[in-house]
Amino acid sequence: MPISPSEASKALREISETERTSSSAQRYARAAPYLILWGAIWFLGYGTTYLDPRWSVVWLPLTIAGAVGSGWLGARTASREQRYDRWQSWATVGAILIALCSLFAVLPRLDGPHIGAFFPITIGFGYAVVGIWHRATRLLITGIALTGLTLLGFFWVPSYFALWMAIVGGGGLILGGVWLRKL
Amino acid sequence: MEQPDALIHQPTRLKIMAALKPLADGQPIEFVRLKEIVGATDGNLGAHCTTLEEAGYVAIDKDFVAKKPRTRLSLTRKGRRALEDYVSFLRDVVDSHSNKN
Repeated sequence: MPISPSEASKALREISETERTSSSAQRYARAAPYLILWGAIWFLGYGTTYLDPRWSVVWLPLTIAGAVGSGWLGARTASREQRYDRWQSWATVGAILIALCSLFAVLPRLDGPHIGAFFPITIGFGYAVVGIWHRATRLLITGIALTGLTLLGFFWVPSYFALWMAIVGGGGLILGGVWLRKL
Repeated sequence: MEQPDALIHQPTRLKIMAALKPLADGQPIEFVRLKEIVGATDGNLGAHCTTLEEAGYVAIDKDFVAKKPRTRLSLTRKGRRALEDYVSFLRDVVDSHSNKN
């Protein structure tokens, strides 16, 4: 079965391209549940805050639920793929929670809209950076969209910012997660 | 390797193997997702997967999730080695041609 150099080159290109597609699909499949989980949390948190700002305390149990959910998702991935250990997932969640508490301790007291915009912008930026480094275009687009929409809501509709973030931020994250799951 | 591995040399089977390669050892991918990556029909993909399974290159696992059948595939060590040998063979062909020129 002779094979010409051009056929060999073509086959190598196809292998490389398929590997890249498969890797992206795996990365997106790993990221999607986090986006859907946090999209639902944002929808509930911002929605409740919009209905009555006094209920903003709901963010505490929601954040804890999100942290536990994220830790569980990471540990599940660790069991399935064995690329890292389960404890690393829980340690990452713990580190993020400690960082959050530290930020709250040192930052000046921010009001609702400011704190409500700070985290989505930070998270959107994080998604964009991960997207750049992993060549994950959809994650990059999701990060840019999240940051842009948060800024738009903050400056354009400040009176309805919490409602904006519930629908556009939370809904956008859920849609982003669903989009990531599709090849 | 004087000759390419005939099993992997077939374009659809080559794509199947390449799609499974980035996964960790024993980590499966669902048939539905593999179909999207490879771009083949159910029947065509199923036939090629069976051929690869018979050669010991892939492992096929079938079970039920929420009463729906699920088929998952993973690359075996033998399959990974075969793909690596095949890629080396292709590189040798390309390199020997480049050296001649």
